[in-house]
Parts: sequence; structure tokens; C-alpha cells
Amino acid sequence: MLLKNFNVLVVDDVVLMCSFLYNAVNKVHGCRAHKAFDYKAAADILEHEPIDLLITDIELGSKSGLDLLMKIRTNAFTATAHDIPIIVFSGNSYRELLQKCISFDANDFLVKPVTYAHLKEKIYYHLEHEKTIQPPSYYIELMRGVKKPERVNAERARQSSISTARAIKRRAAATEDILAEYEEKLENLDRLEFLFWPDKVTTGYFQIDRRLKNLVHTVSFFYQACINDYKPVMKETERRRACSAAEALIHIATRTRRAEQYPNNEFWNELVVRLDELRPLLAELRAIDLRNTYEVIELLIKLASWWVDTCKSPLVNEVDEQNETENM
Amino acid sequence: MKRKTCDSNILNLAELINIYGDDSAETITTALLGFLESASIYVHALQHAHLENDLPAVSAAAHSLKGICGLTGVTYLASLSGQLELAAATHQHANVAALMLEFAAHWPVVQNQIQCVLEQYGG
Repeated sequence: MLLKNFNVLVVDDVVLMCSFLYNAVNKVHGCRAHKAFDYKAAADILEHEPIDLLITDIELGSKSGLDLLMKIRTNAFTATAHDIPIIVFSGNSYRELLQKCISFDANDFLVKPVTYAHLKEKIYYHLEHEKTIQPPSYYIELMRGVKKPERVNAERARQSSISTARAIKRRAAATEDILAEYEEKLENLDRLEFLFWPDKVTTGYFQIDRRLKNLVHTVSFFYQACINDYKPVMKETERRRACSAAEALIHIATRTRRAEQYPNNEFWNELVVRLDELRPLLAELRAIDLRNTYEVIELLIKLASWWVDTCKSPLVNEVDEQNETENM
Repeated sequence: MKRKTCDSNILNLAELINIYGDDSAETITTALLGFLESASIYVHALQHAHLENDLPAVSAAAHSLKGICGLTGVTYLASLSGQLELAAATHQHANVAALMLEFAAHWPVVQNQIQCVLEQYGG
């Protein structure tokens, strides 16, 4: 019995067959089925849903199941990992296609008609057993067809994974050093060099304060997802949250400034400069390729620096503390 | 008793039940109705492609038909479709023509058999 809810995508251009597979998968405990009748619909689902297992027919009209297999293995879909198990329905007359499917590490081949019991058995097996899948770069090279890339065996893949993790950790340590440097710098600076929240602040200012904190939380979660090499879908989710937080901050600040009696006082002039600095970072965050861990970490360092420079100690809190002191 | 009227060479209900993993009347009638609807589309496509002498289209339609016949236990039509697919893919015009004749004669028999079973199961 499977413990988590696995997303299984079934793809077949024959409606009756696709519906049979869809209903069969939904009957398997722990599985949630998605269905697609063609390549485009399947690619759309793989892009937006974190699919855990793909079951596809090899013939899908103009495109083939092999095209889906190749796209997945080269890590072309945002929400779906490149190493998911893939089961291909094959006919005897497609040997060349089958050979290519084997090259791209299809996990299994089934011949129609398949019984519900057999399908269930295969689903359980492939969701519970891992097959060594090469890194996406291997399949990209394979697609280019220049030469047959060297296969990485399980031990080497593990070593490679360890060395990548070490590199990321080293980079993370460097990030920590930079952040520590900023912390130290912060301690030595006069508070007036940071945003100075004016007296008698309104609700709008508190909203800005909240959005600033929200931004740092979301950036922090995104940082954790990258450093710990979470699944691509999780990294993507955290990226989107961080982008939304930055957008919300800019939106709230702009709206509050418009309603402000003195929109050109020292506070607003400072904040506008900081927000102008944030905009290109936000654009970079939206567009960055999450597979490039180094670039992502570089950007995270810039974002962390921006935040530390901008609002390590928002004075709204100090006003609160002062009020609390006065009330005591 | 009802199942005795079903010729397993035309429609193998035991195979259908085995594939679907369910012998309820609802599953059987849904599967057969679904088959009639889907197969009719491919049969028309097949006949049209044959008239147009479009062998790749004949092969593609026969392939799809073979798949759903296998899924539903429509044994002999699955076999005919498989032969048609192969003949069309290898450009055996004479074979395709002969198989199409046999196909045209057998398809109404399949329809009758399915209707008969559907009536028995209250579909």
C-alpha cells in the first residue's frame, strides 16, 4: 500500500484506452490520476503538476511518448522531476522507438491490452523501487547525438551528488560569511543611516513593515530550498512566494506614498531608492534558471544584502517598543 | 446462463472482466458502450482512409482499433485490425483490400453481439 498521494499521469490518444487507464489508476490506493489525450496536454500537466509517475502510449499522433520521455529526462518541465519512473506502452512494430526509449531510461514497457491487476502491480513496483537515472546533462548530450555520453553508475552518481552538495555547502558557507559581514557592519552603523520611520506612523507604514518581514521570510525559505537542494517544484514554489512578497511590498509602498501628505520627505526618498534597487533583483528572481544553483545563490546574496541594508531594524518596531516603555 | 449466448471468438467477456478487474453489470455495460462509440469512429476513419488509398492512415486507425478491441475482449476484430495495421504499414495493397472486405463483413457481427450482451445486462 502506498502511503502518500502520488500523481500519476496517463497519456493515450485513444479516448477509451486513456479513460480505462485513468479509472484504473484512480482505483489504486494512494494514487491520483491525471489524463491527457495528446502531447501538448501532457506537457502542460507535467509543467504545472508535480507528476510522480508517467504512463504513456508510444504513439501520440504527431508526437510520440518518446518526446515526452526525452523532455522529462532533460529536466524540461518546471513542476516534474527528471528522474520519475516512466512506463511506456509499446507495440512490436516500433523497435527503433523502443531502442530510443531504452536509451532515455524508460523504466518499463507494457504491451496492450494490460489488465487492471497487472497495471496496479507495475504502479506499486515503480513507485516503491528506484532506478538509477542519469543527470539531465547526460540526456541533453544524448539528444544532441554528437557522441554517446558516458554513463554514470550509481556509485559515481552518488559521488557526483556528494561533490555537488559539498560545492553548494561551500557556497552557502561563503554566503553566511557575507551575511555575517553585513551583520557586523550593521552593528557599527548609526541607525539613522537606515530607514527612519517618521513619528506618528499610520497603518500604511505598518503594512510596509509587515511586507518587508514577509519578504525576508520568503527569501529565507527560498534560500533553504536551494541550499538543501529540494525538489524543483518546491524551489519554484518558494521562488514564486518570494516574487509575490517583493511585488506586494512595492505595491503597498507605492500606494501608501500616494496617500501620504509629504511624499518627498526623507523617509520616502530613502524608501524609493531602496525599492528602485529591489526592482532589478525582483526581475532577476523571476527569470533565473533554478537549475543553476550558483547563480541562484549569487542572487540570494544580493537579496540578503539588499534587505540587511534596507531594514534590519525597522523603526516601526522601535516606535512600538517606545510606546510599550511609555505604557509601563 | 446469459453468458452462454456470447461467442467468445467474437466477444470474450471473461477477458473484458479480467482486464477491468470487475464483473459488475455497470462496468461491463460502460465498457461495451464506450467501445461501440469509440470503435465506430475508428471504423469510419479506416473505411475513409481505405477509399482514399491512404495506407499510413489505414495503419494508424487499425492500430488504435486493435488497442480498444484488445481492451474490450473483441478478439477476432483485434486480430483483423492487427493484420490490417501490418499490411498497410508494409504497403501490401492486395492484402489490405482483402482484409478490409473481411473487416466490413465482421464489424456488424461484433455490433450485434455487443447489443445482445448489453440487452442481457440491462444496458
